[in-house]
Amino acid sequence: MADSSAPVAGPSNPGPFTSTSVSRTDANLLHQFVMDYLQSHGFDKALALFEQGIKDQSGDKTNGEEGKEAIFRAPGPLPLESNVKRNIPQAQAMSASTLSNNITPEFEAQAKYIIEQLQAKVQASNADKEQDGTDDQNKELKDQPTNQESLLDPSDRVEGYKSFRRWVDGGLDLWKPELDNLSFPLFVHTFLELINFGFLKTAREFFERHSTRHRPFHPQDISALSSISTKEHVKANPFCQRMISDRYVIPLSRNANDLLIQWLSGAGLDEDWEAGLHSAAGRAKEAIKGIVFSDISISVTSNSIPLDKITIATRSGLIASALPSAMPIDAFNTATNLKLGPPPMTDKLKEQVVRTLQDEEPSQQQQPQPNGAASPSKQPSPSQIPNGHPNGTANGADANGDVEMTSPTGEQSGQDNPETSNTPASITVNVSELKIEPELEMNKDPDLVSPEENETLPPIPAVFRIPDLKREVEAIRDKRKMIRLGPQQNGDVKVGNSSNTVLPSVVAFTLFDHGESASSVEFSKDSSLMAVGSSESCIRLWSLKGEKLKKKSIDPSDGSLTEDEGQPFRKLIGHSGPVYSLSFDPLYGSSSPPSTLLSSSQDGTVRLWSTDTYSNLVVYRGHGKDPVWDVEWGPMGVYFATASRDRTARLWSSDRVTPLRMYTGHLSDVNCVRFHPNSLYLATGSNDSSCRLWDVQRGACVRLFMGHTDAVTTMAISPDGKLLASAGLDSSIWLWDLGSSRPIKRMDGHKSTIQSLSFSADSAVLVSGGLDSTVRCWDVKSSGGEKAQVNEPTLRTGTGGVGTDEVQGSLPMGPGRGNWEDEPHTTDLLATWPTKRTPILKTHYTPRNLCMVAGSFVPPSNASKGVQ
Amino acid sequence: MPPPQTTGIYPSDSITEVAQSLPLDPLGAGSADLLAGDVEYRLHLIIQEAKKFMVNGKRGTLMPEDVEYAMDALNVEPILIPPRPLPLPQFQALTIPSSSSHPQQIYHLPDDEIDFATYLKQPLPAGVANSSGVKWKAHWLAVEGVQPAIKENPNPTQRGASRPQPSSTSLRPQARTQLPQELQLYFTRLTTALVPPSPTGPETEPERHRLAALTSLRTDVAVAGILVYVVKWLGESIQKCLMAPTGTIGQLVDAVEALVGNEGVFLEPYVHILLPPLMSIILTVPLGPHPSSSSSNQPSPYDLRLHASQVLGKVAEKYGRSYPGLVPRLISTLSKSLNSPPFPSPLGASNPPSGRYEGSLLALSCLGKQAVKSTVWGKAGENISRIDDLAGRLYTDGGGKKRNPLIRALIKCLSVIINPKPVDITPQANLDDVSEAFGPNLANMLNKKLWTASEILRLRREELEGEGEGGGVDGMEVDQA
Repeated sequence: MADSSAPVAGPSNPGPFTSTSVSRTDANLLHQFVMDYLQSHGFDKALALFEQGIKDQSGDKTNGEEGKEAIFRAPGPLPLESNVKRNIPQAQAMSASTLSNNITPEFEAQAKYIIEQLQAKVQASNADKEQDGTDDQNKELKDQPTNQESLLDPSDRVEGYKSFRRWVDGGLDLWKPELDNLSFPLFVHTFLELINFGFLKTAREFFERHSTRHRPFHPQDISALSSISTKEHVKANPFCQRMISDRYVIPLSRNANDLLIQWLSGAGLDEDWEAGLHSAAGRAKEAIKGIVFSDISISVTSNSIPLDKITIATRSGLIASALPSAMPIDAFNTATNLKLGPPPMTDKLKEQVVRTLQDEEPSQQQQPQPNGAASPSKQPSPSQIPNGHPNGTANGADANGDVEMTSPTGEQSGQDNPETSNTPASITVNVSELKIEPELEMNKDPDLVSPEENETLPPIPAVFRIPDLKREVEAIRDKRKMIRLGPQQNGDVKVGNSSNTVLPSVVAFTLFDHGESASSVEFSKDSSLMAVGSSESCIRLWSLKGEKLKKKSIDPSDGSLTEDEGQPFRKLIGHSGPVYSLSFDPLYGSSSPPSTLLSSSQDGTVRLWSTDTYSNLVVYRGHGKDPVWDVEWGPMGVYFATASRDRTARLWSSDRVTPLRMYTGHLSDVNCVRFHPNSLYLATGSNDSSCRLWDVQRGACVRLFMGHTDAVTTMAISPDGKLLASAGLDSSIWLWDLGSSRPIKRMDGHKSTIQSLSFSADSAVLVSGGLDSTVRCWDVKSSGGEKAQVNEPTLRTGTGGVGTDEVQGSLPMGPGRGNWEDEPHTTDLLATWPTKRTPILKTHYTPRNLCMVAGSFVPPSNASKGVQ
Repeated sequence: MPPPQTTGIYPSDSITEVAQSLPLDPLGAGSADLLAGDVEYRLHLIIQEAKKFMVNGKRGTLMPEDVEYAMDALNVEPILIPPRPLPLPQFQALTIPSSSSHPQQIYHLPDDEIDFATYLKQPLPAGVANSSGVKWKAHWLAVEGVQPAIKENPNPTQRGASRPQPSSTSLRPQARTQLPQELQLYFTRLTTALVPPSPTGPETEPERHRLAALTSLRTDVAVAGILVYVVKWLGESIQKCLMAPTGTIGQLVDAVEALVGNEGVFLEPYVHILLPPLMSIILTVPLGPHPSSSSSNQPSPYDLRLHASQVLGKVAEKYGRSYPGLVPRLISTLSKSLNSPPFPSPLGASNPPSGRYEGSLLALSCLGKQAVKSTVWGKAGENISRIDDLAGRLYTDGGGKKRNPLIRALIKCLSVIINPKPVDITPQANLDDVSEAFGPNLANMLNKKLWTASEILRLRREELEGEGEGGGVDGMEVDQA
């Protein structure tokens, strides 16, 4: 602190300022500042050189006298502290005194920088003088901090970062994660400042020394920075520009903030002896102080509880530029209330569905009496039935329907048992209730608001069609036959497995002889078709039921529908680049095979294919030349969304060739789009390591989820509409609560990029597949967290993958048995199923909770390339 | 010349080279550095873009296509990369004369013009030509959470494929944590020293360490503390090393020998662990690496078998009394393998699978007179002729001139049952008799060992004359052992 006052002592010296003509003394003033600076920093040789330079110059100068005067004045009586400082060897190898033997570009840059800074300073102080010469004493005091800060040499900045790290590392563990988080923006700004002032070599050394620490948490940013080597690059690089123009937000708890302020102001305990040891400590701290106050915005929480890692990860970053309006991320995420309920169903459709189901199950005939008794108690849930349809006054058949369909809404808050016991019901009623239960699971949560009928995309038609009916009937059948997955604590359907975890059965579809060229796989919802998009631009369609794919056509002569004899698989040719995404239309649900298929490709087009004629129907162009990374049908068909490299997601209607909406806001490529099951919202995952949720109609971003450290490649929204899971290159899965926009947990375990996520139909279990050739199964409901100890041995050994270590570990030792620890993973990992050599591209749950995964087998010869 | 301003990856020399190859004025000072920095920045941009194509192509490898698409997306003129059936390009190094003292190497890609017509006529690569197109196959990856053990799923050992597989020569075990710190350290040091990572000469530091470790194993009572681990380690290591360089096996046998020789430890409970590895060494075909290393300081498989047989003999001698079943069981095992019919060699006809018979003979010779008499000699040497016949069949290529290891082993066996050669007698024997009685191969090898020849002839004669005297003596000897 004290030493840095040396350059400031210059202006306070009345000598140069007494002269009335400021412009004439500028040069002298400047020289003096430079020499002052060099002197106080102990750059003897540099000083000598500089003096020499001035002497040479003074020959052709008109006011050579004054130049000389300046030289003579400058050395003058040295302050004691400068003397002391000179005798202390500089810690930095970059000290200019070692470099001044021959003038290097580095030194030139430094000298230039100093001169520039001093010039600016002199001008500033002169301007001040001219403005009001009366209270220049006060003015100077005010200027002092800013001036000091600008008079730092590179070693000070580097030392500043180092001392900050030292301070954090030596500090209390309690606050370490929070303060550690601060070191990334400090690192970036230090680096950028060094580059900006031309200290390229120092910057490079600094980067190489300290970047490894930040790489795991900011891989993209670090790789962006690693390419920066000149000032021009800084100007061209979007990340650097954002760093400079935005303020990096760092969340700190109150105590951590106090600690930081204390340390920056030098009031800490270590200050006394540290200042004695390193004379540069004060200047170093100034560097940090400058960055913290000018480029970082610290959001302090109101309480002093240390923040957990998830909070830190989700609230820090360059948030301002990511949000449409300047508001804190919390406020932004809670500004809108979402309607996450399931889409409504028209009463007529409902009625018809129930009728169909009852016709099919004559053995399960329900008597109207118990239903009639139950229905009044189940009526008061108007939120579920919008527009207040006269359900209660319906006729007998309608009453039946109401019971079937709306009873779940009445049973939301676990009143199931009392209610059934209240009703004078026979055993058969209980059975029927239990049978219906799974299908009702979906609308269990009373907090979820369902959209209006005309809000969905497309609006629910007043008249239903046969496919709609079939779809809904099949959906309920599926629900009834669905296997309940996950831990069954309160499942109490079966007495036996109350504490057991039911894990899914997984069918793996392995593609052979496809090399690595399969770039997308999709299963149809009725599990009858598999489509594989290849990087050679074609799409292959297979029937999974072993049937031949028959091509329908209309005979032109008589207009009758004909079918050819069929082929085992069909090839759809039309794209001119790799096919990155496929989507089957959801119109028929799981009742019958889909009739259309959407594909998106590198060539910038989205194509609509008919699975009846196996031909291309429509080409949608809208993203220009940019590749379309993802395409997905809306949950009710007709509309679909695309994600592209042009940083937008777009909404399309299948009957128009131009997009209807554009969702802009992501700062990098949009990698994936997923519709919310009620079609009101669209989730996008991006290369900028964030996920967003958009209001489909308004086109506005309603949620921003930050926390990933690398690009998001895949997402899934739970069928109950409440959760969003996202995963990507950082190999971890984040689970978000859409309603409250809170991160729920992070699930770690994969060792490579995760390519696909799927929620089970009851939203209890998440399955993920990745390039590490494993399929993993996660418990959605449990709290997760880091693995503390082996606390579920029965489960582990039962589930294969993880338990194998223990099994093999019965031998006490032997070569290669070095790794006794399980691979690190969070506790909510239920099971890991490795494949032989098949990186998993797609996971999929059938509505009945059978899991299907697909991947392309990598022959061993490509092993080193393919499997990581 | 100023030092380079940037220390990037892309060398400024490359810029200079390229500039020289173009009709340009010489580059100004420092401009190559600036350009190199800029080139590197652009490369980063392209790679960053290409990575997106890789990620969305759901791959973990960056392919040429990705770069091509990335350049397309960045509006850079793409380098057209021929589709994949072409062999992957190989960079070739060129040494160019340079003004500076050391010659420089540059790397270039031979960029031949591809004639479209010939390219199309080229045969498809094997993988594509034989394949009938993309197929898929479905299997159960998990049934209610449990992975079925079918061939489509990786088996448990493969599951650990991600961790490094033990290479046969790096035998670095870990003592369990139950051991006290000192013993763990002792165990680690001991096992490290016993099997040096690389073949060692006689006077090297690792070799001295090894000898010290062997001494420690032979004499230190402290071995008792880690005995169970050492025994298991030896057993597992030998099983893993049967195909390893023979030197390594020899070192392990040394260790076993030293351990057996240790009087201070109670090895008895672990004998059953030590015997199978020894038997493996004796009987395994092929033993050691194939093709066998020609280096002279590696023991031959024959030596190894002999060594292991000697150790086996020691074990039998030491524990045969307390375990009466031990020696008979060993003998029956060995004789079974001796009498087994020859099997097709796993290494082809040039390497006859005689090792098993050699090993059996050597081991039997170490197990005592009685063992040899009952199995090798048989009734009046009739087994000998069978072995001789075997040797003739296995070593078809003029086995007479070459030193036939099988016969060598046989002679070694016979030397156990004959009387010791008196110093002052010049033996006389008719090799034709030997040839007639036992076979031509044995006779060929015995032309320098006439005493042995005469002795076996005598034994045969005596036996044929119905004198079972020798048997009685042998029986007593075995009892003494």
